[in-house]
Parts: sequence; structure tokens; C-alpha cells
Amino acid sequence: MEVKIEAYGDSALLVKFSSDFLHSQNRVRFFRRCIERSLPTGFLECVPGMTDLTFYYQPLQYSFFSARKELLRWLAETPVITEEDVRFIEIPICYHSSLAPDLDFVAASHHLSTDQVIALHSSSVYEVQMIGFAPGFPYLSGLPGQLATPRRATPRLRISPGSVGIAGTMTGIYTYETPGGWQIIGRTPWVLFDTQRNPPSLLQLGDRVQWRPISLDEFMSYMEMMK
Amino acid sequence: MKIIKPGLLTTIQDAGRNGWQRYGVVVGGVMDSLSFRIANRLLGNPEGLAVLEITLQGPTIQFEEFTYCVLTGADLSPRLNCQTITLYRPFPVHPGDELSFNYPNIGCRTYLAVSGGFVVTEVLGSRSTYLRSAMGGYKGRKLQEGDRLQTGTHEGMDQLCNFFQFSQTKRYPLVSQTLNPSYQTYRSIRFLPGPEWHLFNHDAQKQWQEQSFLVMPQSDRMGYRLQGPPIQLTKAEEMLSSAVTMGTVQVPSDGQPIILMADRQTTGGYPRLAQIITADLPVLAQVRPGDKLRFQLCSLEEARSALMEQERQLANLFWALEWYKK
Repeated sequence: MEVKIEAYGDSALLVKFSSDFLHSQNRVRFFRRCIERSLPTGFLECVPGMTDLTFYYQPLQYSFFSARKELLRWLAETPVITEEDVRFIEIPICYHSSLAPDLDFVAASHHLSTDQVIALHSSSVYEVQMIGFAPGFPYLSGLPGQLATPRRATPRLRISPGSVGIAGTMTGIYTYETPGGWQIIGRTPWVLFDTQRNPPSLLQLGDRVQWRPISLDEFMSYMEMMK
Repeated sequence: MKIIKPGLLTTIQDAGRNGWQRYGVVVGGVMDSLSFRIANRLLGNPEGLAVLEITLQGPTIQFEEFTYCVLTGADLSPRLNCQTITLYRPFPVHPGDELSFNYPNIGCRTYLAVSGGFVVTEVLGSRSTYLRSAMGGYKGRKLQEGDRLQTGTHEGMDQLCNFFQFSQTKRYPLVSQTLNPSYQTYRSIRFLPGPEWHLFNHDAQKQWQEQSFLVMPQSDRMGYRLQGPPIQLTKAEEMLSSAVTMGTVQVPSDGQPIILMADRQTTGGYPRLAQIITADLPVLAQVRPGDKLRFQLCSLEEARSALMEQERQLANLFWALEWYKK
């Protein structure tokens, strides 16, 4: 694995990887290992991006050069998670029109029926590529190519937590009520982010996700249970 | 203590939610970390206890118990009952006393620390208020009329009586103006090239360093929107999400830069033109909407020695305080 480490201001290092590595399955599993391992002393956080890692360090303790040296050593001894350790998680999703304001638009823009969209969306296995944008918000790859849809031109002002959206080739799940531009095609009753849990985020990098379609009644009883 | 009038934006803050960015959790916390650290130290508090961050137009607060307080950072013309309060000097408050603020004299954010800190439930290890997710602080929101705040105790507080009495005398160490970022907002802000600096052509880089930029009224704890000559990318490039932090300067396609501040998200997708050096972030925190900013390129060595110099001055101040506490 080839890495390039650049200064990112005076208290962070940006780690870039060769394109072979980025296109391999190992990328996401290596990133997962990096955020789970304890960091070298004087390092504060490791934040994964889509293709890079940022490490924040204590600038009074390290210069750029000493921090880089320490990080190279640490990266070299970080193993990639093996295939057996990958978790499969099945998440319930309700595609009922009352919870899926953009389902019709997505179907129409690909000349599909809404049932076809639901069948396509729920048949694929997804992989968590990144957690970001909002607390616990997962970016999932694996969306069938026919469903790739650009973001809404005007973002919605309020999206309910649990809403499942499409933006480009990614699927994401809103964890908090926020404004947002993803095309909402369904909603899960599950709570994906809870500050009382450790880690607070249900999904982790590299997790495989499958959707289990549920009816509106099931969705409602789930929501009742969660109260 | 009780909030009589909330002021423009008064929130409970501490050093922020550190260590959770990998799960997308916003760090938040105080904007001006220097004034925050000094405030706690001046009271003999452990560094990091929660304080009130008060923005431009201050609140009116009525105290219900005897305690000691201190104000640092911006001078928003504080008064206790009718008497003017000196910044950076602890003062006793008695039940019924009212702390209020008049016109914002200098700087943008003042920090009110109390003996033992403000006590609210910690969320992910921090008491900071993150407004957008209604997380932490006092009910996840800014303070409102009628709110009642609890203050804490800490080990060794009883022994600080003499220290507080001493703080009322003329021999109490004065904090140098170089340690109050409010007095530095006129000077240019130093930066290092951001990860996408090379995507901007020579003219754009030059404009960023030579022109002045207006801090727009929409600026808040999440970021400062700047207005100036548009800074264009050499060619439009699709960016994949990557980490951003306090002081990251992003340039969206309209060419008007945004400096990310305390409540920034963990990752972003705009090209990162520059990164403000750590030592200059407190100064940036004291800038007001409507102020003009200039930016100056520096080296990694300069950035680090500026921070070390700041830390050396802090250490001297803390040393003097420790000495007097004995």
C-alpha cells in the first residue's frame, strides 16, 4: 500500500492513497480499522473521507515532520480487516408514498414504475463507504445503476430522521431532522444514531446493508415500540 | 442563576465533542478557545469547565447564590448592578445581583465563567450546545428568558477564598492585551495552503492574499461567509467528501469563500483553498459581521512558533496565578 502524507494546516495530516488501493475492496476495511485502533499519543482524531484519511494531532507535541514519521509507523502496522469480519445488517424500510415524497419522481425520471424502483432498491447489497455530513449519516454504495438520480434542485427544509434518500449513485439515511437535498424514497423506523450508545452510530464503515421492505402498519408499530 | 433577558445568542459551551468526528459528530464548542481557557484559569477552575458564550448583545442574568465569576474576550460593556466590570478580573456576586451588558465595545464574543463551571448533562463527553442537532448544552438550545442554570463545585474550591480576595487587589496579574484576541482583529489572519490550493490559479491565489474580504451578516458559529473578488478554480472539479475543520477555507462555485468555524460539519465537498493557522483562530472568533479581513500566507514553522509563543505567554500567566493561589 502506497501512501502520501501532506500537511493540512498546522495540526492535521492528510493521507492519500494510490488509485489501485482506492479501487480495491480493502479501502473501506482499512479505513474502518484506522478509526477503531487507538491512535499514537498526541493524535486526536482520525476522520475518513471518501478516498482519504485526515489525522488531527496536537501541534505543540509534534512538528509536521515528526507527526508524519509517527503516523507512517502507525499506518504500517495497521492491518486490513479480513472478509470474515464484515457485518451484514438488515434494515427495515417502508416505501409507502406518505414516507417517500420523491419516489414518484425517481420512478418517472427512469421510466420505471414505483414497484420496480422498490424491487431494484431492495434487491441490492450495499456497503457503508463513509459516515459524515451529519452525526451517523451513512453513505452507502451499491445502488443499482438504473436508480442513480441527482440531488433535488431545491433542498427540502425538513427531512425526518430515518428517511432514506438517493443522491447520484449513493444511498444515505438521515439521522437527524435536517434540511437536505437527497431524493427521499422511503423511511426506516430504526434509530441510526444514539448518543447513549458506544459507538453512537449503528452503522460502521464497511458494513454490508440489505433493505427489508415493510408495510406502513409495520412501520407504525415499530415507531410505537421505539417510543 | 436566572436568565432575565437572553441577549442575541447565549449558549453553554466547553472544549467541544472531541473524538467523535469519525461518526460524523460535529465538534462544536467555544469559538475563542484562548479566552475560554483563560476564563477558567482565572477562577482557579480546571481548564475545560463549561462557560457561557455571549455574542455581541449580552444577556441580563440574576444571581441566586454567592459565587465568583469572570469575563474574558470581547468587551460588551458588562455591568454588575450599575457598576462597570473589569474584564479578566474575577468578581464576587451575591443573591439578587444583576449582570447586564451595554453596547458591544470591542470584539464579538465574551465568555462568562463561574466558580465550578455550568452544569448540564454531558452528551458524548461535552456540555457544548450544538444548535443544529439540538444536542447538549441547556436543552440543546440558546438560553431564553426564565432559564435557570446550575453551577458546579470542584475539588479545592474551598481553599480559593484568599485567592479571590487577592483578585480584588491591584497586585492581581493583568492579562496582557496580546492574550485578548478582541484587540487583534485589525491585523491580517495567517494561513497555510489548503489541500486544494494548487487547483486555484496564480491570479486567484494572489487575490486571496492581496484583497480584503467582508464578513457577511449570514456568518455564524458554523462558518463565516466572505464577500470579495470571486476566487475561481482553474477548472471546475468534482470533489469527493473529505475532512474539514475549524479554519478551513472552502470555495463554492460562486467563488465567495467560507471560513468554517466551531460548528462546522466533519466533512465537506468544496475545494479547500486555505487553512487558517491555529494561533489565529481565536482572533477570527472575535471578528464581527461587517468587519474586513485580510489574509497572509505563512510557513509551517511560523505557524508553529506563533502557537508556541501564545502557549508560552499563557504558561507565564498560569504560573503567576498558581503562585498567588498558594
